Amino acid sequence: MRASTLLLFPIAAVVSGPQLAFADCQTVSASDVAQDIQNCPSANNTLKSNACNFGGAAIAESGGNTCASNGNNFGLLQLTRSNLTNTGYSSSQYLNLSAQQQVCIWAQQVGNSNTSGAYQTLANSGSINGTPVTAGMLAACFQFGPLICKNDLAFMRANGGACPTIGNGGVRATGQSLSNGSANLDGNNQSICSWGQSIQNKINQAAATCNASNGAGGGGTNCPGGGTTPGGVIPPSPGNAPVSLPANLA
Amino acid sequence: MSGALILAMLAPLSASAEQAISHRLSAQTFSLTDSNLQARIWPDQVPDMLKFRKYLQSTPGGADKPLLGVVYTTTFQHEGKQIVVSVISNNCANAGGFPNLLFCPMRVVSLSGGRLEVLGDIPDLLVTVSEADAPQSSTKKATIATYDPQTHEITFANVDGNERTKLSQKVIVR
Repeated sequence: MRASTLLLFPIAAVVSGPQLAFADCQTVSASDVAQDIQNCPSANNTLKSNACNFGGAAIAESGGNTCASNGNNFGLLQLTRSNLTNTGYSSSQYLNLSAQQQVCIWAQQVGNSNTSGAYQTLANSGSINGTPVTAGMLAACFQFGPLICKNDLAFMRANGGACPTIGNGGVRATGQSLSNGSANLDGNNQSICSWGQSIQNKINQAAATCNASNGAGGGGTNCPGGGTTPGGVIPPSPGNAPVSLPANLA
Repeated sequence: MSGALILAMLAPLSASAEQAISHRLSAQTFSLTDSNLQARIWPDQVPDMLKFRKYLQSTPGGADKPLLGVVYTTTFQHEGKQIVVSVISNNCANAGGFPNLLFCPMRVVSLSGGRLEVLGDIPDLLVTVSEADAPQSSTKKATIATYDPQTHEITFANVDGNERTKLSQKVIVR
């Protein structure tokens, strides 16, 4: 749990730490989440064509636990508390929903807004000043939202492809840096590169179970192991990670 | 009473009348199935919101979910017109995972004699939001809209405790 989030605790603590008493906690795989995205009527084409990548993001965010929470971010894909406003569900009710319901609410709440702007720019870029754009990086961009993603892109373009860090001029997200538009790191000092690598690792690990049939339109390259090398595992290097573009941009 | 004295007495009133007015945005639910003010402000968003709410009703445990939307809103008066600021809690983008901040669509409209005119449309205003069951309950965190009758501008700021950060977006009230 994290990136999308203002993570106050390490992921391991979130997943294994004390949780509220939920009767229906589920632990699901990246492949399960990918299938849930495919099944969801509120998921847009961008989400569906990158379903396996967001499956990997879910594992990075929550460990695949529907009850994962740090008190401010909730569920498989760590929907923020404020994202729940329009759903009529309280945070505790949301954590009690099935994986399918959580995924559909996440898709409806942030699917369109977070795939606009910088996400599309990144999806259209094979690399940024020599730094390859990975599927994990795209998922991190989505989870951070357009502002941080846009600022990370600008920083990379101005700094030879290097991502911001707290040591090289990065600006951590705070109420002030978000309001004045300067934030290029999330609340945990993560950039789309650093958190993108964490998600990419989960995408790679999920390769064995996430296949083209539940990723996007069969034979696509967005699912590790799909496409021309069924069952294969993509190399761990982000530079070799498959990146799929939304249908309207491919 | 001399003219000078009358002017001296009126001057403070006049200055006071020209002072900027600030209101915090308050959470409000509105029906997605009738033609109320907020539904009229957001005709492009309501169909999608209604579809989603009906989907929620169809899911296990969701049957009791009302067909309501949520806005953060306030009003000002300007030359006999009602000026409505409305931020809709739909299609909001993440803000680095902050629990109370999102980038949401915002509109400012004027309402006069039943006629509604859109004065400003900002797709991504950084707003302070909260869960529907505790709307803007905290006095420490809020989004403030300020109307300046001298410049006819509505500006915005987010407040978190003693920290107030002004946003760059503004809307001119005609």
